Amino acid sequence: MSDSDTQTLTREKTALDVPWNVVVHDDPVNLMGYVTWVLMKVFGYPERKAAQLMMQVHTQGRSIVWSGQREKAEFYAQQLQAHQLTTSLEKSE
Amino acid sequence: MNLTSTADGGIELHLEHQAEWLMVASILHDANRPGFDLAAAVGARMADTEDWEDWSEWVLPDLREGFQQHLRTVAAAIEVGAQQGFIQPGTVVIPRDAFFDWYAALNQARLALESKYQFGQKSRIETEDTPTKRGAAHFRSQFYNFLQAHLLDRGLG
Repeated sequence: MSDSDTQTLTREKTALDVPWNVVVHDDPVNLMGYVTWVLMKVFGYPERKAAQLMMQVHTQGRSIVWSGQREKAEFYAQQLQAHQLTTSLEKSE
Repeated sequence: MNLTSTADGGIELHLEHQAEWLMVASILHDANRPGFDLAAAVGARMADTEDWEDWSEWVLPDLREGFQQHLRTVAAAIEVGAQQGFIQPGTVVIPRDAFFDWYAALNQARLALESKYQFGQKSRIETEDTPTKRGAAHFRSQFYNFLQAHLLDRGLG
């Protein structure tokens, strides 16, 4: 393996290691109790944590509900969208 | 319209008049509003990212199929309840294990109405004169909201 190959692999690995955020956005339809229930169901969060995140969505318009490996973040985003929550993914800063 | 509980934890909607049947059937009509793509709407915040093309190709079809499955559950229950026709009193049964499908179908209907009329979080919509389409849509949305709250209180499973 050449030096350039090593550099490429290192860069790719670094890019893969950057955590990804799963972000839930506020909307005027989803009930607060429902959003809490979905966060408990999808992530297994205790009710208190799920309710805190829900309130952040409600009051600040968005909340990072999970951070970590990209593949898992995509899976969670799909789950949240399947529950009709407006969700996006972003690279963690 | 009355709501009662079944022995196994489900809910029965007792419908007396044609207008009540129409109200329940409107769930499907509203949720399937032409031009509204819920799968794209819940992912709209990703639409300007480089991953959107893959997301559209691989994820959105599954989301659409899941959303249609919720509607099929509701449609089947209404069809069974309306065997005597939409003009006679009848009962629509929501079994406990269908609570989530019903909740999700009602949510689709409310999101579709919201996308068209932008009610926001108002609990009352002022209508200038005689009942308008918007006012009627808001009334339906509030009815769906009422059913959702009832299902949520009972536990979605």
